[in-house]
Amino acid sequence: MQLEEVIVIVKEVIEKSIGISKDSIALDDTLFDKIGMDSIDLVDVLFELEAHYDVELKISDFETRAREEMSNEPYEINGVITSKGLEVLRKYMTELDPNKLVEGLTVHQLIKLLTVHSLCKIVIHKLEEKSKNTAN
Amino acid sequence: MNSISEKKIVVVGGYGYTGKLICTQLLSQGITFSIVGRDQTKLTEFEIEFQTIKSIHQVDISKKEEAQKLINDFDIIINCAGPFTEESQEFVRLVSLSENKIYLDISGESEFVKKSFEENNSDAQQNNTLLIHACAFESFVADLALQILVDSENNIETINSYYYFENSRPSPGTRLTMKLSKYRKYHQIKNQNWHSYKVSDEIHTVDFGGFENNVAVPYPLPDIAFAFYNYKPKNAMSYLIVSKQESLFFSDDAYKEGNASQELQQLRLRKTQGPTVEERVKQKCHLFVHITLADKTERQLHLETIDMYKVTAKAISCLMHRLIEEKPIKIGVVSPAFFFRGEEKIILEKISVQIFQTN
Repeated sequence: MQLEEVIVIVKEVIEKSIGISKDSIALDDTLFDKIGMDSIDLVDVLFELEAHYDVELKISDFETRAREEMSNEPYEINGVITSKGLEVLRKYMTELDPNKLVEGLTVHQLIKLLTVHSLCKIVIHKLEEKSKNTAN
Repeated sequence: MNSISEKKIVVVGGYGYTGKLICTQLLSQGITFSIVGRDQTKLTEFEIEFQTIKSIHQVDISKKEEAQKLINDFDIIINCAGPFTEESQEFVRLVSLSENKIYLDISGESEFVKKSFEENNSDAQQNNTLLIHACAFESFVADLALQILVDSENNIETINSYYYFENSRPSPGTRLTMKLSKYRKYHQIKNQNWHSYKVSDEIHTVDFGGFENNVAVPYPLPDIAFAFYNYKPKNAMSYLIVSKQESLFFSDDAYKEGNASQELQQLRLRKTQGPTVEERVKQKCHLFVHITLADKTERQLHLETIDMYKVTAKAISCLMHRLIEEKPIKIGVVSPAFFFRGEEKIILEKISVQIFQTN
């Protein structure tokens, strides 16, 4: 599944859930500051995407890949992302503003940095997983 | 009060997501009523769809004169129009100051219910008026469970309720209420008094019910007010069970100074949809109500249900039947389970809630 296909659906879902025009949504827009979502809206958007793609999506999925990468080291301690955790996030979440992935960043603050692109990436990742599982 | 069956019934906001389910349930039980709301288009659409309703009236209950006229014109008011904190506080106050009224709502807002117990109980009692808040999933169910667990009202150390939701996409109204919750300061019961709390101080590991790898985060619901005013426990709180990873997304700085009403007007412009019938039947909730007595004895009830919005509709219907069949045995601000003392298990079955396990 290509980004170009997913972004169309993601924009439609955001339009339906939040009530803003899909034409005004850009790939790099942050979900919280730019689009004006909050975590409750995000849960609704994830529900819509789940229904559309028949995959399970959770807020925590955004960081699941980073956690998986770091199976032997802590990704966060008491909610604060470790230095190694930030390093892995920079590697996987290239769409985020690197200047904001700074020491002391909490998991709660990370969610506020997410963009429309982050949402597309998690959908693509889940679809790839689903496709692998089906193949197996 | 006169015979309830002759009373005029009105549903406020009956065209909303949960309101519509409630109206459908009431009509199927032969209970007839009028509908009021602020949106004339929705009222007209509702009248075409539900031709057996008595009448429709455009009323904005946040406007005092319109609210008072509504209260004067009807005997039983079922309020489905949330958010209640922003728009129904004054309305409920007016009801409490009116004589011989019965008011029910489906609020899930703990501070709204707490405030009504504090401010309206005495006036409602003087005016022979009955106010029943939060007759809905979740708090009605928790309230029934508590009545099953408690056999003496004087020796309770702690009352906690824990909710675990699966696929729980909220209705537009629930979502709106959740979004506005950031403007509210919440309280728990500590040492027999209401206290504000820090989210991170209250998060704890769950050690029961197959949820042992999860954590509980504070999730204030009207259960706490029911627990406090009915049983006077030393401590009481309600919690949401989430995974450890998800709990990190809950923050201490959720509270926001600002104008909830302004945001409410903007949110109302959104055309959001609630869960479909297919989605609703996949929605599931586990509820654990846990009490600790002064002698450290512990008791717990584990309940389970699906389609929680339908449970709410059935809960209102059960309560309406009770109020129609019998003269209310108590007035003032009264928790909904009170009207089913000794019949809790029968009512839980009627509203499709299963008692899964008792400790």
